[in-house]
Amino acid sequence: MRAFKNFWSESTNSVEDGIKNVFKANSIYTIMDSSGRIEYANENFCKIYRSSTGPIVGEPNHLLKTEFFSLEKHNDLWRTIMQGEKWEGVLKDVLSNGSPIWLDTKILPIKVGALPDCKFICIHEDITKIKLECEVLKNDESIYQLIYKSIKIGIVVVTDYKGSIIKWNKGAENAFGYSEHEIMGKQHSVLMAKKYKKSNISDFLELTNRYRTIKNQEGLEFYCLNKEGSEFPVELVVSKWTINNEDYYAFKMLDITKRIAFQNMLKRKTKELELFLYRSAHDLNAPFSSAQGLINLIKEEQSIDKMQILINMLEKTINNAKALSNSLTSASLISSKVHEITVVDFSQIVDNVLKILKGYNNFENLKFNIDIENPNDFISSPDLIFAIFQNLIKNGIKFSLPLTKNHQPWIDIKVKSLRDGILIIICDNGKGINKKDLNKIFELYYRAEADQNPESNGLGLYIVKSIVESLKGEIRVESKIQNSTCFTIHLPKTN
Amino acid sequence: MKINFMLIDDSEIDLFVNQKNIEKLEIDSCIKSYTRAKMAVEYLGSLEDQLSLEPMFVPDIILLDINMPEMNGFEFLNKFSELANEKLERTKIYMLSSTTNLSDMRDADEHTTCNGFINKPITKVKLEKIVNELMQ
Repeated sequence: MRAFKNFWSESTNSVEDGIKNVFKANSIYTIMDSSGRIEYANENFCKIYRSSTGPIVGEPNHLLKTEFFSLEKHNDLWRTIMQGEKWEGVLKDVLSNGSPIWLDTKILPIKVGALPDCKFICIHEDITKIKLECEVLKNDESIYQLIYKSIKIGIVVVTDYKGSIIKWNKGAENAFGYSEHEIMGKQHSVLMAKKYKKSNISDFLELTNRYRTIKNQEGLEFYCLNKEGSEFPVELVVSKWTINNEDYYAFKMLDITKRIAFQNMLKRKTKELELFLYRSAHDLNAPFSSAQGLINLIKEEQSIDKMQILINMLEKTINNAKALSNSLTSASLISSKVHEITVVDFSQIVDNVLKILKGYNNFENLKFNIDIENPNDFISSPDLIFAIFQNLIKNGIKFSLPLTKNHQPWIDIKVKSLRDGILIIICDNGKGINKKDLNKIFELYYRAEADQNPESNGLGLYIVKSIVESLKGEIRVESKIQNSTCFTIHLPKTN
Repeated sequence: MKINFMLIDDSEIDLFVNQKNIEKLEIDSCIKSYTRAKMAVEYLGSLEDQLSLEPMFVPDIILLDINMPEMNGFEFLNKFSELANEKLERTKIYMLSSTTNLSDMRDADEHTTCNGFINKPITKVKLEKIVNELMQ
């Protein structure tokens, strides 16, 4: 230090002159006095301020007076150098053309003595280029941060090697329902569905191991648990990286609730279709074999009277076959998309249904209470609506109790016009449905235990439910055995 | 020898046809018919409680329809094998169906308590065959 401090004032040696020249040419420096006034500025320093080259010498050192230089830093600098110590730091300034500069600066006392005699050398290194690059990087990083945090469809959870959550994105926050401060530092197993939970750390190992066994980085199907305690399926991709010898894991997930629901619906529909084909094949064959059996008997029958009985049975068999065939037609009607769509006239539909059902047993004894608020703007397929009424009213008739002194069988048929759609209510005071049958009656080919009616084919309510579903509506049933049955259907308006 | 037939079919017409054909065999027979398989199981279950088997109807042959509501033919077979009643050890069960559904036939074949599969309608010839099987 001492040698350096004496370097300027006492150098006469030519070698030292040489060094001085090299230093002058390659460095940026100024010499200032104890009041901060610049006494000397080398060419390189002037070059930086070229556009504003003015009388730098004699002026206060501008670098120490910029808005970027805090008072605290200012005081620290002066305290340091007045004590004869070296000060180091980065100084920032803005050139007259508006571009910023950063100078990595060392300030050294070169002449120590009484106050006015103090001199300081300020050696600068222009680090503007590096700073600007860093700035770009920082901007990029904050852009990436922003992108990653704001991705709402994807769920990203980052954990350390122990499985503690250290970062997550907006998508994760939305999916799991925790706020960021609630979840940071928690074990990732907080987010796993119960069935995967054993102990925290083994879960984590198991999950990462399980993931490793999947080939080609395919997603793993996995169940997550949100704050409310409900589970949801995700597809999971795990990646691992190492920074400073520490392992980090990123769990990237996609909520696949909708996909799973769709898959399940597809599975259910396929199963229904298989059953439909199997049962249809059987049920269509059944009346033919019955008829064959009867015909065999008729051929060998001698007595005309007995033959007449057999022929009556044959007729009944054929009627049942016809009813089944009709039901199958209307079942297939639902799926074919060729329905006329028009304003539905409910009164007319109910009238027509009752005309068709006139031939049924007990029809004459039934009291029909019809209360229809005909909306004149409900647009749908009259064919499908007709099938709903036909099947439900037919059931009401089939399962009605006989007319007695104490019992007047009735069927209520109500249509209510709502703001968002219509409500169909069909009730009767008939045989009712067993509790254990109640949730099965809509199944394909399901026949309730009490239903010993040979004409029943297990299709009617299946058709009704399928129609209601295809019209995006809902159907409910309530029943008391030997007392009442009530079907309520809500159908929304379509746009 | 008197042969006891138990007929289980949800179709009353088919029960009638089967009964008529059995009558045509002109053998000493007794027939008990059920439209609900569940009731048949209940009856067979009650046989265990009877000390004397003389007055009770114990089926030698059961003609069982496959497709029935509430309890179908296969469900009946499962319940039947659970009964483990020695009075029913000699009982032969034949499944009836109007469809020659391959998987049904295979399932019937694999069920140890089922002795055969018969296509509807039942005829005198088909019945003679199973009666002969019983006699052997």
